[in-house]
Order: sequence, then C-alpha cells, then structure tokens
Amino acid sequence: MATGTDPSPVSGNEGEYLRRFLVARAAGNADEMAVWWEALLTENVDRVRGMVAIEARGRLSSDEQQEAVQRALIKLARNMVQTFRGSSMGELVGAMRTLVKGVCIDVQREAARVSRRETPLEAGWDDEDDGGGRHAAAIAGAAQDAQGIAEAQEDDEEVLRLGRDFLDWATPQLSPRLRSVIELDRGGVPVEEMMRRMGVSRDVIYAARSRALRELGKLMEAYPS
Amino acid sequence: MTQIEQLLGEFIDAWKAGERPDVDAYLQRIPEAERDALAEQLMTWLSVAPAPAYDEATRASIAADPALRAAVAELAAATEPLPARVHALRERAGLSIADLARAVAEAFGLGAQEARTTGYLERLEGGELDATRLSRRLCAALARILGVDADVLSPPQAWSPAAAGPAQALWRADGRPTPAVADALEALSQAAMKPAPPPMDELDRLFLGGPDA
Repeated sequence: MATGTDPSPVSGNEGEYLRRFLVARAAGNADEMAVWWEALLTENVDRVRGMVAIEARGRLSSDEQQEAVQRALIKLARNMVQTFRGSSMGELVGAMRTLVKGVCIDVQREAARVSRRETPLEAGWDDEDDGGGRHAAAIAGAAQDAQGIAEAQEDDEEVLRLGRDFLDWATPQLSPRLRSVIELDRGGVPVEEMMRRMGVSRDVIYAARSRALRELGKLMEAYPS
Repeated sequence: MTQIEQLLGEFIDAWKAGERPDVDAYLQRIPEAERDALAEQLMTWLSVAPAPAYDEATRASIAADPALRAAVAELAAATEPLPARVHALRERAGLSIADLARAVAEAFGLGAQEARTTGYLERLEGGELDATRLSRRLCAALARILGVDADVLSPPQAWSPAAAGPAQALWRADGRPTPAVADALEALSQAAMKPAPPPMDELDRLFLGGPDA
C-alpha cells in the first residue's frame, strides 16, 4: 500500500470503511480506495441480495434474480466507486437501493426482449427484416451505448439527490418507544437483551419493530421530496 | 401478534446475529395476500440496517462468493486510472495506437484526421491529458472498439470541494489577499487580456471538451 494507514479491514465497521475510502479518494490513492470499497462491498453483499429478492419478487425468474445480484454488485464495484458522492452509510445504502431497482428493471426488460426475439431455429433466414446485417448490429450497438450513457447519468443524479442521511431526519419523528427499538436493533443488541432493558416481552418488541419499520417506510417515501 | 410481526422479528434477529437470513425463504412462509406488506417492511429494514457483525467463518464464506469475486475483479480495473485502462485494453486487443486512432477517426467520420487522433491518444495514454475532460461519446466509442462495456471506460469525474454556500461566497477579506490569491487574480487578468483561442473542432471536443461534448 502506498500510504502508512492500516489497510486491514476491521470486522463489522462499515462506517469506518467508508470514512477510510473517502480519505483515500480525497488523496487520490487508488490502491487504498480499492481496499476499502472491497470491504464495503463484502459487508453489503447480503443487503444487495435481499434488496434484489424483494425488487425481483414476481418479476424475475430465479436465474434472472441471480443475474440481477451479479450486475448490481458489479455496478457497485465499477460505477459507484467513481460516482458515489455522499459521505454517510445512509446515503450509500440509499444509493444501493436505487441501483438495485434500476438493475432489476434492466434485467426484466432484457428478458422480455429476448423472449420476444425467440423464434424457431428454422425461421428467419429468408425474412426481409433480417437484411440489415452488420449495419443493423452497429446501429443497435450505438443505440445501446447511448442508452447506457444516459442511464449512467440518471444513476449519478439519483445518487446526488440523496443529499442527507435519512435516519438523522426520520428517527426523531418516531415515538420514544419505537425510536428505542430501532436504535437498539441498529445497535445490534440481541432481542433477549432488548427485552431485559425495556422490561417487555419478545412479542411487544416484534410488534414495535414492525410498527417502526412501517412508519419509517412512509417517511422514506416522503423523504426525497 | 400477527404473522408479519413474527416473521419480521425473526428475520431481524437472524440478521443481527449474522446468520444471513434468506429474504425469499421468509417471504415464502407467509400467505401471498400478506407478502407485499412483509416485503415492504423487510426492504425498509435492509435500507436502515447496519451490516451484521459476521464471525470469521461467515466472513470467509461471503468473501468466497463468486458474485462478489467477479465484482471485486471489476473494482480493481475501475480504480486504475483511465489512461492505464485504455493502454491495457488496447494491448489486450492487439492494437497499435495508430490502429486505435484509425478506428476512432472512422467512428466519428474523421478519416482525414488519423494523425491528430494518434497524437491525442498518445497524450491520453501518456497521462498528459486531463481524463475528466474526455467526452462520454469518445469513451463509449473506445469501449466499443476495445470490446468492453461502456462502463469500463466511463470518464472519471472531476472531484472538487462542494461549492461555497452563500455566506462563504459573499465573505470578503479585509486585509491584503494572500500571495496565492494575488497570483490567481493576476493569472485571471492575464488570461482575460489574451485573444480567445481558436474554436475547438470535433476532434478537440472529443478529447478536451468535457463529458458532455
């Protein structure tokens, strides 16, 4: 590594990985940028997989879902390492969610195009529509490039739109009890310890979790505007 | 307690314990009529949850995930400076700079300007050009010619500090400007005195005009 900082990722501290990534990027240190972004990717594989599973529900086959996970991780690695401009995990996770949604839509569109193109093997040789040859392929390639560039720009704009950390804004709007549950959950406190600290049963905690997440979900919808 | 509350509660407990719960499996455990509601709450959790504290064995298993390995391979290429990426991809494609210049000139209908295009590509690979000033059209064409996705050669962004807020922008120093500010003002005034450079042609715009050129 080019600098004297410790490049060994520390377990379970994605905020620290992000901070180190941002420092490396500000210093123009590509080696360290790669180390810390890889650590962030590793921490977030399950999150991406889960988000894809939810977005893909009823829309993508199992294989297409795997394809979407792979594409989302590659876009995270290849594009977002360059385009992410936020400074908090909240912003990064928000950007991941936007990215996952876009990838699932792309995979679904491509699957639909392929299924429309599927024709019997013996068909097509004498079709007039197939006469474009390599020119048609070149035009299609150029159109695809243009679309790719436009989509990358849209991704960037989405990322930039997420200017603040959602939780800083949303959590104070929850009732004290729901806020406690979410904060303990986000702190990784086991449910048994939560029961002890709050003096309530598991059922009460489960019900409060669900209510807190419903309210956060509503606030999330209102947040960008 | 509802089934949604129960399943969501179990999922979050498993997530926090680093057990890598499978979203699909949880959704399959609830009647279809309630699946959307559970999915919504799971998505909200995934949007606000910190990554779990995985144990070493789990972390090793995640690190060996083929999907992650493929992404990490792309990451190594993405963090390499763009000139080095162009150079490596050109060598991989077995093209000389002149070959690449010919293909770029053809792609933009600039057949008569191969020599200038070669010069620009030499400067690009040599790190003499500001890669943030390359046009997206050029990067997309280079990617197509070199046989990679457009993303691989997307132009880097110019990282700059956030724009000054109104209060900072309107702040004025009372004393004399620092030497650096005085130098910058002098350079600006000299630039303002010089005649405008000749307008860029299409080739200049591709290499110097910025991402939107």
